[in-house]
Amino acid sequence: MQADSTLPLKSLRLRDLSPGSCCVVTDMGLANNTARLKAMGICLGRTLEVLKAGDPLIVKVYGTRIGLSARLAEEILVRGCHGSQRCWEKMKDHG
Amino acid sequence: MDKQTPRSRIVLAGNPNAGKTTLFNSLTGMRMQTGNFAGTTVSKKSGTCLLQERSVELIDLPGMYSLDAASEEERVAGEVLMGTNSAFPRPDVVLAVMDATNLERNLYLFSHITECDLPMVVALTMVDRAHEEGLDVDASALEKALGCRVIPVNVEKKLGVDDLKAALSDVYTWGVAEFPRPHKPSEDVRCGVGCSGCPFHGRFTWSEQIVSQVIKTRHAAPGRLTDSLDEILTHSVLGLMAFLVVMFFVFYAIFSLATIPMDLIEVGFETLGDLVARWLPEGDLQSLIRHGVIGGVGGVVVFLPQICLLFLLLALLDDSGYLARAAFVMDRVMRKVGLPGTAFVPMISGHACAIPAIMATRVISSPRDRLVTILVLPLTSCSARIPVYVLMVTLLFPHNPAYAASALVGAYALGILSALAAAWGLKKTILPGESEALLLEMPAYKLPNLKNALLHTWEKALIFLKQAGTVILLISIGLWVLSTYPKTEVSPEVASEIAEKIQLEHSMAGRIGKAMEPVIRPLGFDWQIGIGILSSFAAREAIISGLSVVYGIGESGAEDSELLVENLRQATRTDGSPVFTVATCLSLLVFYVLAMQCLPTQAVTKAETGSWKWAGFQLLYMSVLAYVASLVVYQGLQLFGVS
Repeated sequence: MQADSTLPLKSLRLRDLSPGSCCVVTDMGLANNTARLKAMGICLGRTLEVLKAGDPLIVKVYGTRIGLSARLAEEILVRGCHGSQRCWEKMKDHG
Repeated sequence: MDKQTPRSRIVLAGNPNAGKTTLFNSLTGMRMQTGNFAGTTVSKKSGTCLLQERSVELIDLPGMYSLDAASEEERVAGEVLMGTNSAFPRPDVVLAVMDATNLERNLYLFSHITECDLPMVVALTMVDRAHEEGLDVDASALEKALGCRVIPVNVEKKLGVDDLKAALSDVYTWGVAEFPRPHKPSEDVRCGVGCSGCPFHGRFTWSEQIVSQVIKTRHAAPGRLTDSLDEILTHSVLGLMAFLVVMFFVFYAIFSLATIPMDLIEVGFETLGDLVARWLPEGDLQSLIRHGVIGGVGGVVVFLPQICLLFLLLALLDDSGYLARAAFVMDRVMRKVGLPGTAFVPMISGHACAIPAIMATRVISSPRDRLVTILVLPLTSCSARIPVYVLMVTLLFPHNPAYAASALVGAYALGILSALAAAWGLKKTILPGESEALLLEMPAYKLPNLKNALLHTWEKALIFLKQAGTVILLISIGLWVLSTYPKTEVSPEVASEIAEKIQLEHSMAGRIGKAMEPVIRPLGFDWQIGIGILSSFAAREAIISGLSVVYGIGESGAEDSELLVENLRQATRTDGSPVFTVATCLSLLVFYVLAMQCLPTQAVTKAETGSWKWAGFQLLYMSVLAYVASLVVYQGLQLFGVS
């Protein structure tokens, strides 16, 4: 799975990831004020998968797709993930 | 169940898209009522459900992700569950609906609800789909982990509904007070100790732990249907094109299929009017019932088929998962003028009728965005404008259908563009700020449930009829009074059409029309058109019967459109020049696109924004906009010598 191995462990903006990337949220920035975002599962420590980049973008979290504005995604810092359950599934699917 | 003891209540709570509505409909059938939670605009749906011999009230809470009071809906739902809402007694049982395909997020909400200290039963939905995605849920392990009954339910296949009812009635057999409550997550989880105080983190970690105990993951090749459809439908170019195609078909259906029931309704109201004419002696009472009540209400109810069809199609599109994608692609466009992507459903509905469209703005979570949408919505061309558009276009281009069609399209485009421009104007002036950032769940595509969609349409139709039955009735009676009194003596030799004309001229409406003339003269309108505009305030299409009376062919003349067009074309001013020149027709067309002429809409604006202030503002800015635009059109055309 190329996308994951190319993602470094340092912080990146969710906004800048390419489709197919898996990541773990490390800092919510100003998006921390958006309670609904967090209740939907985009919060510190959660694993996300980017399905569509751009503005707005689509991420997958806990099996559901969430469309969100790049304005929110710009605030969210992430690191590449290794070994999370969801990503692991994905890696298997991609053979 | 006797009426003295308060009825037992069960509330239905869960995430949006978890299958709550389907379950609610299956448990209650048609036995339901819709309304609002007292003092709010949060919709409340309740119904009766039979558990063994016991009849209980089932209340559907709005779909929510947490009880953090991030929105009015969540605040109300939280109050209901906690029993702190004074208008709403604490329920006995919570029926939590959980979607097996994203159990972690559903458990997050569950962890909040456990703190309400109520008996709970969990309905586990979408187990089949989870299985297809390689997730096998062990319901009995989940029961053990949560400390409450967990019943897998599949409403379509009629599986589990009886078990669910049995589990709910168990609570009453045991007694609500004694029935064991589900386990609460520990204090650590709730206040988020160990994660720099982030309660979200704690709760999600708790959910993940439970999921790891109850779900076995195996390798499966989940359907890629949603992913491949999303490639197209959320694409920045293709998605927009797909949106236009879908909307084309929606409108095509509305304007073609709805004509049959609309004709029937029209004939029905006419027959009713004729019956009244036969039964009641001629006089004011007959006229009041015939023209004020039946005519006024009929003129608005006739749009019900279009409204229903629109709501049915939108409900089907919503259930299929497409509407979320449409909001997604429209967000990019609408954000530029300060409207959120979610405003597009109300904007589409506005093309049928602004009243249900304004009520549909409840899907918009940000109060600023919602207000902007309500204020600009009546600029979209509703069905009541169509008869006026058609009349003007026919007067303008009687022998050139291509020009006539272009003029019609132009009127619609003017409506949409001015709504967007007005939103932009509001953003730059009194309602500054960006529209709320898009944040929207995009559920997996599925075949829509026709029964749910029909029930939803039924609810909307009832709400619309309640409006039509009260506000519109009052307004049309008011306008009837204006156009009937004071009475004038007309000699009996005069033909009835002329008598009608003389009567209207001398009525209050006629006097107001004449008083208005100096103001509307610069737009190319005379006092007769003034009366027409005035009668439009019940519903815009009333200008047609108004005009046919003032131009002397009688109210019945309005039904013969050729006769009406011919009469209007020959109408002259006192100096002998024709009234309906190209400049006047275009000016009137523009005026009808832009003017706020619908008191029922104003009443809904007041109800939804909570104050007459915004309804007044809406009336003011739209009237100024219409006046200025018509002035520019008429005077501009005069300047260039077009008459």
